[in-house]
Amino acid sequence: MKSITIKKLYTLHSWVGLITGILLFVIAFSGAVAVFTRPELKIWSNQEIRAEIPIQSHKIENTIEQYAQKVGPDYLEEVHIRLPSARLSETARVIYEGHFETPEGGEEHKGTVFEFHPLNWSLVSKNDMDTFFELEKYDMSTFLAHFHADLHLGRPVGLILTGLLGLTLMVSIVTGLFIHRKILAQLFTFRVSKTFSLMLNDGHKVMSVWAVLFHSVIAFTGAFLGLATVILVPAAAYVGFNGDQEKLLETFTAIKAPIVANVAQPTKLADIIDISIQKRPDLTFDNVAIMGYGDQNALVYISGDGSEQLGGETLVFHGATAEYIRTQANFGRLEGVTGKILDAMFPLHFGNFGGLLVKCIWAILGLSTALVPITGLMLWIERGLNAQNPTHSKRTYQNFNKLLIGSCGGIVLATVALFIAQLIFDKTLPEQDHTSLIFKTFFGVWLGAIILPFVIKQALALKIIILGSGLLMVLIMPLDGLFTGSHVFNVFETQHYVSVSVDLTMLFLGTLLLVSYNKMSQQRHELSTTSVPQTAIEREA
Amino acid sequence: MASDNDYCLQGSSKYCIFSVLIAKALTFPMERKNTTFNGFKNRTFLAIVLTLITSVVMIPGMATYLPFHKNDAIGLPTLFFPFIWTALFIYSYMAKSVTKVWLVMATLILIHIACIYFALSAE
Repeated sequence: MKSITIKKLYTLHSWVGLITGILLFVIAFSGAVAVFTRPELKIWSNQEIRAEIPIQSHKIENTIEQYAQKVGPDYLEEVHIRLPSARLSETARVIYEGHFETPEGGEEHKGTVFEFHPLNWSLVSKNDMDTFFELEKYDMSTFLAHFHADLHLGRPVGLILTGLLGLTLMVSIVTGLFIHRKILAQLFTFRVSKTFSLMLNDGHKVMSVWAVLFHSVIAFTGAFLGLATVILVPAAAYVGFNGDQEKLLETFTAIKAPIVANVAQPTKLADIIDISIQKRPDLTFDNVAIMGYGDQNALVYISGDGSEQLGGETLVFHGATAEYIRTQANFGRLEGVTGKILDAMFPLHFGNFGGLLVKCIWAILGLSTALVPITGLMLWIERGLNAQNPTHSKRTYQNFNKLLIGSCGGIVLATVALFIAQLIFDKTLPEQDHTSLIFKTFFGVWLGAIILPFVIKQALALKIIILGSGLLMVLIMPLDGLFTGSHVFNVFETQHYVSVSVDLTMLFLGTLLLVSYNKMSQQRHELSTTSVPQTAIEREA
Repeated sequence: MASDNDYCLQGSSKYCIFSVLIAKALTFPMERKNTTFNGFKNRTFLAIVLTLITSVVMIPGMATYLPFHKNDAIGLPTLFFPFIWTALFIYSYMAKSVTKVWLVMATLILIHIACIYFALSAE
C-alpha cells in the first residue's frame, strides 16, 4: 500500500479517535456494566426480588381476572404480564390495553398499568399507560442500562449519538486494520517494562487486535440498535409500507392478534403457564401476552430466554383450551435471513445468550473496547508533549489530559457511587421514588470528577478518583450487610445468591484496583529515584 | 488539484458555508493547514452530511431492487446501513479527487431516489 494512503488512513484513524475517544470510553464502559443490569444488578438493587421467586400460576390467573373485571371489556384486547419470577423488574407488571378509533379515523392505544408486589401480588400502583411510560422510575440498574443506550439525553438525540458512535467505531476498526497490517506480530508484542509510550502503543494494538472481532460486533450491533428506531425503521418503511411504520412493525412483530369471536370464554392462563414450565424447563419465562383476553379465540404468547435460540423463544397457546399451538422465535419465524440476524442483534450486543460465563467474557472484552480509545488518546498526548514541533500548544495537551482523567475516571467513580447511593437511599428513604436522587448522585459525582483535575494537581486528582473508586467498591459489601442484613455468612439462609455474588465481585474488583494502584505507585517511586526518565504525562502532572 | 476555495467556486455557496462551519467545529485535531488531504473541508462535509444522507436514502431505495424475499429486501438494507456508511465515510477522505466523491454520492442518491419514486408511483 502506498505510503500516502497509509498516512491518510493513519490521520483519519487518529482524528476519529480524538473526537470520539472520550465518549466512546463512556459508552463502552457503561456497556461493560450494562451487561449485568438484567437481571443481576436489578436483583441486587431491589431487596424484594433478591431470593428466587416461584411462579404462582393460579395466583396470577386470579389476579388477572380480578383486575380484568375492574378495567372493563374495552381494555382486554391485549393483556401484557411481566412475570416476577424472571426478576427483571422490581414488581409484577400487568398492562390492560385497548385500541380506540380517533376522530381522524386513526387508531389509538390506551391502557392501564398495574404494578403488584412480586411475592404476594398485592397492588403497588395503578397508572394509565402514557403516564407510566413517561414517568419511568429508575433504580441504579435501570439508570445504568438507559445511560448506556442514550446517555439520558432522551430519544431520538441520545440514540442517534450512540448509534453514530457505533459507526465511528467501525471507521476506527477498518482504518486501524489497514494501518496495523502486521497483525500477527502485534498479537504477541507487549513491552510492559520498556518506556511508558511503548507500553501504551503495545497495549493499544494488543487490545485492538485480540478483540477485533468483538469490537466489530459491538460497533455493528451498537450502530444498528441505536439507529434502528430513529432512522432505519422509518427509512425501511418508506417504500415497502408507504411510510407506515406501525404496519411494518406489525408485519415483523411476533405477537399477532386473533380474529375475536366475541364469545366469552375464560382464558386458562394458569394451565398455560404450568404446561409451558413442564414443556420447556430450559426456558426462564419472563413475559406473557394475551391477545383477546376472555374471548373464545384468545391467543396466549409466553416468552422465555435460556435456550440456544438467540433472542429467546415464544410458546403460543389457544387461550380458551390451553392447547399448545407452536413455538416461535421473535423474528426468526419470518422467511429469509433478516429475521435470524435481527434476533441475534440484542444478545450479541449484551452477551446474554450463554449464561454468566459469556456475560463475564463480554464485560471483560467491553472493558478492552473502552480502553482502546483511552490508550490511543494517551499516546496522542504523550507524543504531543514529547514532540519537538507539536501540532498544538503544550497547554492544549495538558488540558486534554485533565479532561481525560476527569471524564473517564469520573464515569467509573460515578458508577461505583451509584451502588453506595442505592443502599443509602433504600435504607433512609424506603418506599420512595429514588429516580431524582440517582440522577443527582451520578451526574454530581461525574461533574465533580471532571472539574477536579482543573482545580488541583492532576496527579492528585487521579489518585483521588482511583482510590475513591476502589474504596467505594470495597465498602459495598459491608454496607449491604449492615443495611439489608444480607451477607455472605447467611447466604444459604436468605438464598440471596445473586446479590451476594455482586457484593463479592465488587469487593474483589475494589481490592484489585487498590492493590494495582499501590503497586504502580511503588514502581513509579522507584523509577523516580533512579535515572530512568519520567513519561511526558507524568512530568506534566 | 482543486483546493477548498476552487471547489467552493464551483459548488453551491450554501453548501460551502455549511461545510466550512462543520469542518471548523470538527478540525480541532488539525489546527494547522492540512497537507494530507486536499479539499479537506469539502471532504469533511461529504463524510459527515452527505454520507449520512446517501446511506439513509439507499435503505428504501435498495428495497425496490434487491432480488430477495420481501422481508429480506426490506430488512437487509437496514443491516447494510452501518457498512455502507463506513465505506462512504472512509471513501470521502481516501478518494484522490473530491469531485469524484461528490459525483459518486450524488449518483447514488439520484439512482435510489428514482427507484423510490418509480416504486411508489407504480403502487
